[in-house]
Amino acid sequence: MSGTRSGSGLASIGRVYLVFMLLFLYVPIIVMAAMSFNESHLYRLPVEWSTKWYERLAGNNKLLDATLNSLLVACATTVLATALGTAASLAFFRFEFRAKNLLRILAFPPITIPWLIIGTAMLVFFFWVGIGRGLHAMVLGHVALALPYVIIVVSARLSSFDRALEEAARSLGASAWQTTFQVTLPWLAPGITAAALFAFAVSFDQFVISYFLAAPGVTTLPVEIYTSIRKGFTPEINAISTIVIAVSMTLLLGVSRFYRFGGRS
Amino acid sequence: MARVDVANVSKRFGPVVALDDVTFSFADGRFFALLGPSGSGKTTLLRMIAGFEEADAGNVSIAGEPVDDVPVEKRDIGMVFQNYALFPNMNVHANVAFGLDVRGIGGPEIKRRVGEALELVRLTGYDARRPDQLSGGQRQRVALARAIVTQPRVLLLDEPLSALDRSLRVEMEIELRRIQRDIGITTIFVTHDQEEALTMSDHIGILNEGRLVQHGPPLEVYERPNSVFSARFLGEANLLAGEASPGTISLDAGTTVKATHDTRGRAMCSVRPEKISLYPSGCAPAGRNILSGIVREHIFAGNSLTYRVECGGEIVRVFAQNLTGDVFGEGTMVDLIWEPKDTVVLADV
Repeated sequence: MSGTRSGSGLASIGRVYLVFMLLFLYVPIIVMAAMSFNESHLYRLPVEWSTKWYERLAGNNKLLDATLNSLLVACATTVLATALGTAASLAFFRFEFRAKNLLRILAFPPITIPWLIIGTAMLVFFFWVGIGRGLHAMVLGHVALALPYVIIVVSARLSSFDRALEEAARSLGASAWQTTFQVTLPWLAPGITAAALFAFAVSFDQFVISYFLAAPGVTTLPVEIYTSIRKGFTPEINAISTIVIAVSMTLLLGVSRFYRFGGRS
Repeated sequence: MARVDVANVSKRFGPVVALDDVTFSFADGRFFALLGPSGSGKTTLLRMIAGFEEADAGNVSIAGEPVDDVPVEKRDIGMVFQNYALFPNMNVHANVAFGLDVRGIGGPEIKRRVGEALELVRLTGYDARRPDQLSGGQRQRVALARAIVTQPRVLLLDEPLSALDRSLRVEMEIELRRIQRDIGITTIFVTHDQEEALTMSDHIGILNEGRLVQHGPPLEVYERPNSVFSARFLGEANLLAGEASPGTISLDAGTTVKATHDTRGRAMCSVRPEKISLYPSGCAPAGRNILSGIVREHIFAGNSLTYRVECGGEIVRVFAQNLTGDVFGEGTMVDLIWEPKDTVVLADV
């Protein structure tokens, strides 16, 4: 009996903990979303329903341009990092070569080295070799950052791949290319999708490196939000943030369904 | 359809010798079993014929042409894998059609040939199922249909029945044999199950530690094992040591018995437990090999009996049919009788 009682005691502590965690995580976001629809910019309650800040946002070219830049950089990063990372994972999986483990380890520093340091190093290096600053430099930086995430996610999926599938395809007359595109990649698809999302998120959220590599007048959304806040906060930032959150939550929910569907075969 | 020849092939994996100078011809249209314990090299030999492993030395040829430099996809083989390796992202039809598809064969012909292959393995109407909606036996049939739909020159089977349960395995043994006879394809079947090898194949090759120890038709290999390993690995054998001279062997267990051999010196002979009959001591008919002993144990299994008889310090196993309902109890003095031709003197001591 006492065992059961202390068990339920633990369970209720767990429940309280869960509630606090969710509150801590989501209350600021909900408040922000609510305030983006509030007439007053002084967070006055009760909320007076208004789409004023969204209308203002539509006229704020700086924020909109920055959003467009962010999307552009994130999409380019996603395509490049996913393609390169998947190819690297396949190479690590298929071939035995010299310094394979060293190479594998060398791919991971972007996760462990502080972004500030990587950002500084990139800024100095890009200037030195003539790449300079701008969206192209950001894409380079973001791809380097996203690559290890892609390799980790795709390799995890690959680790449960049955090599006999490739052998079966070869024995049936498929060339190495046909085997890769008709057997291996379709099997990897859920992993590649997850990896692409990671790459997109890494790029879209990236502030430090983007801040360092932004050319004057050409910024991304996180950098623009930071700059605006320093000049004085406006609820337009709540509005754009709410849109971003809505889009990314929808994306996440959609993918989580798809991922469960194709996860274990 | 084609013959397959391996000539003097050797293969090492680091310090491990997987194949050691193996030479063999797989005749056109026959069903071969490669039998051996794990690590005997049988799977390596199969994968070498398929093209997944490269020989360190020696040659492989299919239909008389060397294929050592021909990649797997150009060898025109069909292979069934241990866990079937069906493509999980494709349905049954797409799995079977894969080999035709990558060869650039057109739609109507694919449909017809996939239909024929599925009919052959008795899975007509399963086209739209996904592999995870099939039972083990059905997956096995799809894997087989996929392997033969391209009409390959050779069919390679890598322990295809080991993942099935007992009753299904027996059913698939018959099915596999029927299909092989129907299409007359040269088939090489790797197994560690002696019963599978005996019941299914035209020809058995026994491998041990990378060497081909013995080969021949199942009956011949079973009746005339050439080594202690063959005698023990295929079926059960009583191994009796003795001193051989042409035509006879003086067993350490006490008597001199007749055999068909012409060697001299220390030797080991094999007598299968089912070849021996038991008689009460002194009642044995003359003219056959006789060994006296004491029954130490009998195991009654309804229609059959297994005896363990002590003969001069050695235990001899005897399988007997329950013909009379009489059983020799423990401690009974008995005579063990068998034909001279069933005393097989083995090459190695």
